[in-house]
Order: sequence, then structure tokens, then C-alpha cells
Amino acid sequence: MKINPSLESNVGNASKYVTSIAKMRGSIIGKILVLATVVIAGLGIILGCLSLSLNSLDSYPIPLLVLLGILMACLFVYTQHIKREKQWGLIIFAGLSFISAYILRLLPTYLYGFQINGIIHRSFISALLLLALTVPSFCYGLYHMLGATPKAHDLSRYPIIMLPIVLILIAYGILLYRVFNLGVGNLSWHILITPFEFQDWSTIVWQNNWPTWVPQSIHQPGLSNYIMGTLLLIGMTSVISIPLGVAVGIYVTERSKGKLAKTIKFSCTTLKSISVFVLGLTAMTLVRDTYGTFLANIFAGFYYDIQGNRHIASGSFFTAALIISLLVIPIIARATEEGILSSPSDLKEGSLSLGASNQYTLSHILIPWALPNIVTGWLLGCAETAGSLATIWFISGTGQYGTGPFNSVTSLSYFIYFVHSDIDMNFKSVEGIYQYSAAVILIIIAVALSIAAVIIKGRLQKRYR
Amino acid sequence: MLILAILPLIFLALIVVNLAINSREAIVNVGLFGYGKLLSPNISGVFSTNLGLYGLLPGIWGTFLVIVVSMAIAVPISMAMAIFASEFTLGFLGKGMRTTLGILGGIPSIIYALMAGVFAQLFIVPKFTGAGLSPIPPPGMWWWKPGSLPFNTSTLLGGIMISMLIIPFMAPLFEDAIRNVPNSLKEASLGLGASRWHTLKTTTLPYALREIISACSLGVLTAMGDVVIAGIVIGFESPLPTPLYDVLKSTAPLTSTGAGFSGGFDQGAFNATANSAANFTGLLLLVMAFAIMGVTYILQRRFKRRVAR
Repeated sequence: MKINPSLESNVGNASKYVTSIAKMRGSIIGKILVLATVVIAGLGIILGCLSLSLNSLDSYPIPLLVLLGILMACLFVYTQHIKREKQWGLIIFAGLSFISAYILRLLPTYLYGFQINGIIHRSFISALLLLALTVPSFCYGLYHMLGATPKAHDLSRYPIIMLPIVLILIAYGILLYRVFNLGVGNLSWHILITPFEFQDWSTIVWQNNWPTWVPQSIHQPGLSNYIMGTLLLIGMTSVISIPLGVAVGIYVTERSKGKLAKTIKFSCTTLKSISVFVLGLTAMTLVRDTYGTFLANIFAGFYYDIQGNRHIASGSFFTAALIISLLVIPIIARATEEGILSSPSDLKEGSLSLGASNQYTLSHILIPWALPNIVTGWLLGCAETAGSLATIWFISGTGQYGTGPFNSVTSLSYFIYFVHSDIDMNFKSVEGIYQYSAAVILIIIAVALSIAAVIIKGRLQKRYR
Repeated sequence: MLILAILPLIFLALIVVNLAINSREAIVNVGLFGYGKLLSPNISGVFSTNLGLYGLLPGIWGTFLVIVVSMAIAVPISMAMAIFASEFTLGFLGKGMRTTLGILGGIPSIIYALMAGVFAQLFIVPKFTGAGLSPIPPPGMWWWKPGSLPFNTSTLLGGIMISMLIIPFMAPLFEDAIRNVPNSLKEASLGLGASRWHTLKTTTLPYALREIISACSLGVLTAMGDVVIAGIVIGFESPLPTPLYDVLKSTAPLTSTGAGFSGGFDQGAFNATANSAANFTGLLLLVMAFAIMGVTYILQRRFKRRVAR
């Protein structure tokens, strides 16, 4: 029986449809074209990423784009020849490459006008165009190089996902590297254990049998009061926020599911999402309104200077902890809620059916089960406390007169801001070189707390499985 | 238990009442509409509240610009990170992504504000200040002054730093949204022969859209509420930019405008009217936050209905 020759040829063509251009038998041209696309597009991606920062690579994008356009046109012709189908996307892509190369050719090196406050370099636009054109063509080349199967389709999409991740991780890496590079050099044990002191005063000294005023001064750089201040702030915030946060979490899940529970939940969400500036403003108002009264000792704080005179400070650790705990309560409440909701209902029902009271079940079954969650939330809240500046921005002091619950509030993040802001040049002249050291210590404290939270969370997931 | 649990609610109510009472003086003494009034584009210079111009429209516009810039950078990158950590993992790299994000989330905002200069050196100075050009102003740039170019303060730089702050915060939320999509949906799509990328585009992301929107709104609220980076990298008080879209000028957002009004870190420069204006700014921020939360709620309800059909 004879087979229709046209049908046979159709079957032969159909086998060509499912295979890729590069994997086709004997198609050396296809292999070369696909390989060239991958190489050129990969070079283009690297060039585009570098051009986001470097100006000197300005002359390379135009030939690269022209080459890419020629390759795409060749691929269009070749697929039409082999597969008998016109992939119009390829020719549109080639056209876009040529047009963008031509636009880049027309652009002057520096662009300005429209009263825009800047002189834009051409390579910024060329970098954006390069990235927009080379990433899809790289994916296309990779797809055909890997065999045009569904798995190859998945694998060829990795560049789209990986490129932004790699770029942002490089950015974070540069940031952390710069902080550590500038800060570790000045760091020593001595600076960690000495407090900052800046005093100018005069004393009567007998010189040549005559009393004279001699100016005295202590200009002692140090970081210990800021580190102790951060730790004290973390401790006091924990003392306030753990009972409240756990109570909110338990109340919302166990005790009530009515309107009040919903309102409390909503208030926690709102506290977390309103601006920290509002909280800072509230702290400032609290200090200002109680300034003349006896409550100033609690909210504004006090200190004794070197002559022993008592002064009212601008804000105490207690106020700061009270305000920051409003940020930490929602975190702990959310963690407690998650922990209690994840507890198996068998345990609770078993306890209740054996005659235990609700209170006993709560304190002996549910809270122990939710404890790792609570600890995770607490650690995250501590990291938040260590870094929070906006809440204590308006009420902080330099903290050179000791760190206690009712002393002037200070922390490492406020120290960094105070050096950065150039308000007090005396302070900057003494402590200026230790700004990045303080940043290093702050990063170490905050990141250590976050890592501990991440590790506990990882253990938790293993326990549930 | 009830007494402890109700305390956050009482605190929140006290904060709102405090803001409302304190902003009364600004509304009465300064007024709302007109030249230099609270809702006008006229604002006096940095920290000079003596002129009595308390316009907040530049602040609102600055908040909008900062949100647009930071979201335009943060959302695609967070989405890529979430997809990499949940769907397109590369062995241990994808599993380590979540840990990396947890660690990066611990970096305080003051560090980003402090290190903004690094990104100004790496990105802003070569691309937007005409590096390599002679210091003589180019022809046609009559407004150009030697110190006016965006070397270390601009809305763009502030937006970049705020986006770096909110990426470790948003990416885990996106990842949760993608993980919460039922496996049966994904498996049905994969079983019908779709590739993983196709499944992601047509099944997973549309289903997760509702949670993605709520994560985005949390990111917007964080970007809006940030005051440390906004104050240090962008500035405290500034007029409207001349072409409104110009992100290379520094347009202070609402938070740092209010911080500049309050002058809290300088006890000597206390000005009752300015402090009251700062409280009004806080009230405005609160209203904007509630508006964003409401819009998110409405959007979520719409998308919930669409998915159910």
C-alpha cells in the first residue's frame, strides 16, 4: 500500500515542530545561531548590569544591539526555512534591536532639559534598553539550546528570576561590606567598655598662693553607654510588651471571637501599620505635657551633672520603652496567635475531657505549645527595638550621665543619627570616627537576634512534621 | 486577661485623641485653605517655621513619589525572590533564600540612611550628575548651580534606600501568598501538561493575587511611614518640584515634613503652632493609612469573588 508522499512529508515536518532548532539532526547552522544568541545575549546582560554603574562602557551597547538584531533576523529566516512557520516575534525583536541601536546612536552623551535637576548620562538609557532586549533573547536561546521541551522552558526562565535577585544581593553585599570596612578598623575593647564623657568646667586651684579659675575638661570617646542603652531598651520593652502581646494573642484566639476581639485585632494591625513618626510625636507630647509636674521625673527623666546638680532630661528610657512596646506588641501577638492556632485540637480536647479547667488547659497545654512561636516573635521584636530610631528621635539625649530606667534615653541608632546630623560639633569632634563602629555593633546585635529567630523558626517547622 | 488585652486598643485611641486635640490649634490659627495654610503648596524653608507657611501639599506629593519609586523597585525584586524561594528553587540556594531574607530583615533603617552615600557614588553620581563633565554649567541649564545636583539627597535615592528596607519585609509575605495556593490547583495544571512557568503565570499568581495585594499594601504603608531614611536622605521641608515628576530633586514626604515642623530634637526652638502643624501632619498620615487599608480591603473582596467563580 502506498503512502501519500505529501502526508509522509507532513509527518516528517511534524517531527521537526517538536524538536528545537539546535537539537535538529545535521543542522549545524541552527546550533551555531542558537549558541551565538546565548553568548551575545549573555554578554549583553553583563554589559547592561555593569552599565548601571559604569560610564566608560558607553561605546559597546550599539554594536552589541546591531549584532543581536542580525542574529534574530537570521533566526527568523532559518526557522521559516526549517519549520515552515513564521515566528513574527523574532522579526519584531530584531526590529526593536535595530531601532534602539539607532536611538542610542542619535542620543548625545549627556541629556538635560525640561528643568530636570540632573544631567543624565546616555549609558543609563542604554543599560535599560540592553537589559530589556537581551534578557528575553537569552531566554529564547537557552530554551532552544536545552532542547525545547517543557523542562527546558522552565529552565530557560531562570535568568528572569535570578537577575534581580543577584543585583539586589550585590547591593546588600556592597552596603554591608562598606559598613564593616569603615567600622571594624576603629573597633577595640577599650572603646566598647568606656562611656562617652564630654565635660567642660572650671575649678579653683591655688597657683602662686593665689586662687585662680582653671578650666578643666574631659573629652573621652566611648560607646559603652550607647550599647548599654540599647540593651536596657530591649530589656524594658520586653518586660512591657511580652505580657501584653501574649495576652492579646490568647484573648483573640481562645477567650473571645466576638466584636471586641475583632476590634483588638484591628487595633494591633493599625498599630503596626501607622507611621512610626506618629508614635514619636506621641512620645514628644507625653514628655512636653508632663514637663512641669512631678511626672517629669518618670516621663522626662533626670540626671545629675558633675557638680551634683539635678536636671530634668528630655525623655526617659521608660517613655521610650512604653512607646516602642506599641510596635512590638503586634509582632508578639501575631506570633502567639499563630502558635495557638497551630496546636493540635486533640491535645486541647483530651485535656478538657479529662476534667481540666480552661485555665489549666491554657497554662499547661496551649502556652507551652506556643512557646517557641512566642520566643520567635519576641526576638524579632527585640531586633525591631534595637533598630527603632523614629520613636525615640525627638526625646533622646547623649546619655553621658548614666543609663537607668529613668535616665535620659539613648541608643546606638540615635548615636549614629546624632553624629550624622552635625547638630553638635563638639560631639562630632570626639565621637565622629566611631560612627561606623557603632553601625557595626548595631548590625551585629540586630542580625544576631534575627538569626536566632530564624533558627528557632526552622526548628519549629521540623517539630510540626 | 481582658484588661491586658484591651490595653493596645486604649493606647491607639489615646494616640488618635492626642493627635486630634493637638492639631486643633493649627487648624484654628493657621487655617486649611489659602496661601501658606495647611493644605496649600507654600512652605517655608528648612527648619524656618518663623515665616508661618505650613503647606502640606508638597509633603503629600513627596509621599506619593517615594511610594511610586520604592514600589517600582521593590515589588518585582520581592516577587522574584518569593518565586525563587518557593517555586523555582535551585537546590539549597532556594531554601537559603528565606534565611537570607530573615537576616537582611534585621538590618535597621538608620544603616540604610547612613550608607545612602555608597549608592549615590555607585549609581546617582555617574548616571545623573554628569560625572566627567566640566564644572561649567552646560548651555541651556540656567537654573544649574554647582551644589544643586542630586549628589547625596534626592527622592530617587531615598526611594532606592526605602525599597532596600522593604524588600526583606515584603518578600516573605509574597512567598507565603504563593505557598498558600492549594496544591491541587497547581497539580491539575501540571498534570494537563503545562510547564511550571506556565502554571505560575496562569494559575498560581492569579490565585495568590489577593494576598499579594495585601502584602503590597503593607509595603506601601511601611514605605509611607518611614521617617528616618526620608529625613536623612531626602530632606525635611521642601517646595513642590517644578516638573512634578522630577525625582532627582528632593521632595520631602509627609513624615519628614512633620518631623521638620515639630523640631523635637531642638528643645530651644519649640514653636507651639509648628508643633501643632506636626500633629496635623500625623493626623493626615493616619487618615491616609486608613484610606489605603480600606482600598486594600475593597480590592481583596473583589478578587475573592472573582476567584470563587
